[in-house]
Amino acid sequence: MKGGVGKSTLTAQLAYEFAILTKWAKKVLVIDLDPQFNVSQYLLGPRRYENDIINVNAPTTWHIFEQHTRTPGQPIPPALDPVSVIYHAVQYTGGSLVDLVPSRLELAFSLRNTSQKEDLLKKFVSAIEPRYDVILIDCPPTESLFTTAAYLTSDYLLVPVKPEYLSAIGLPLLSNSLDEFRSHNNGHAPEVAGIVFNFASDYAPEEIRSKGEVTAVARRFGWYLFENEVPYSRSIAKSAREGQPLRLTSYSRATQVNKLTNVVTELAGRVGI
Amino acid sequence: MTDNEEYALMADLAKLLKKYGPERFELLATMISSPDFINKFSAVLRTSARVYRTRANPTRVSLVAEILRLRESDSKKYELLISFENKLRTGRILPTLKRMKSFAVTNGLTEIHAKSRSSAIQQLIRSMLSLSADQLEKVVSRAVESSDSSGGLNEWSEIITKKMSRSRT
Repeated sequence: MKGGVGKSTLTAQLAYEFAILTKWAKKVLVIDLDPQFNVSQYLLGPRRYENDIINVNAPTTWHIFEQHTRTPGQPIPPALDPVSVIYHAVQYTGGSLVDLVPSRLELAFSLRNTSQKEDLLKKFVSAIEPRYDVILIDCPPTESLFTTAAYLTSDYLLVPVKPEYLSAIGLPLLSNSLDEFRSHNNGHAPEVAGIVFNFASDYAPEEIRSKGEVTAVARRFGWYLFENEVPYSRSIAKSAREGQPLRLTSYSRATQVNKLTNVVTELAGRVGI
Repeated sequence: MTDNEEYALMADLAKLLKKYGPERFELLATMISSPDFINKFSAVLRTSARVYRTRANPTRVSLVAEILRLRESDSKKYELLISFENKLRTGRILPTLKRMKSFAVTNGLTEIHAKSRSSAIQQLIRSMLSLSADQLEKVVSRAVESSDSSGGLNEWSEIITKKMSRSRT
């Protein structure tokens, strides 16, 4: 419910950690549900995105939501092959991998007409779910068709919060959003796996104050607050530019990498990975 | 020997005389005039050649042999590997050890356990030997792309503006 808290960066880092580290070595699928396509940018980089997605008009999340859209005078479009939307971002020696359902700017056009589109993502995931151990969905910050589709599809929500005033305000918005979803879905909603502090440095007084506030809000809503935090690191920004996991980014520090791994381990414990 | 070469030799000898002192020169003159000097000298040369041979890295030697064998059996693969190694050694692609390790991991090649970039190059090339020419071509082009591309704003802004103008038409 807030932009700039590091959702896409954290999604990419989680995917890499689950795939690379031998204690998991998982087959991971990342679904980019944000028209700003930041996680696609991270995982593919400009060359691969342009050559393999844009130039060949490869299927993306837009195709999932618009698969039944008809153009006047044109025949009914053929059914979307779910596998055709999956792009192999990285494959590791041991068989673990990170696949991606990329996004593109035009995904925003799906918001012009949202009727009967909410469950299309869930149907898509049901078809490809057996191929993966972990599926991560990177949501856009504002509540929309895409957040509803993600709620319908997901078992858990991970909520990254940047320890600062405006980010913390996103939490009550999330609570409202989940309540509303529940009221439309017979009381069902994904479980909040927890709130994790992202870009934390434990330094500025404002940050410490915000953490206190977030802790109080989490307690009020009954949400778990992660014991481990993703630290602020200049290498995280660089890892996106290099298109690499933090642990393989040039000059990244082992202490920062270990802190990130601790967050991933805690998450894995919370959701049973 | 011409006059010029003699003068050059004398100049070099004068420098060596200054460096080692006249006593050592006299000792050397006595040694050279000894009849078994040539035998001793050639024995010293043979020993140093043997030392040099044992210092050559056998792994590197066998890797080179394997690459050279490709010249006959799969010339496309040979050319790709040679050109790739050349770019690696000149630092034009994957310029740091960390990026090489990361490249190996992200492309499903054998993980690199090396402390120097030079040994990492050998490990990387060795793990690429098992790839087919087509697979190799893909992996090499990824390395070149990742080094050519800065991942910078210019490239993204070009993609985004091009894409938006296409979707308007």
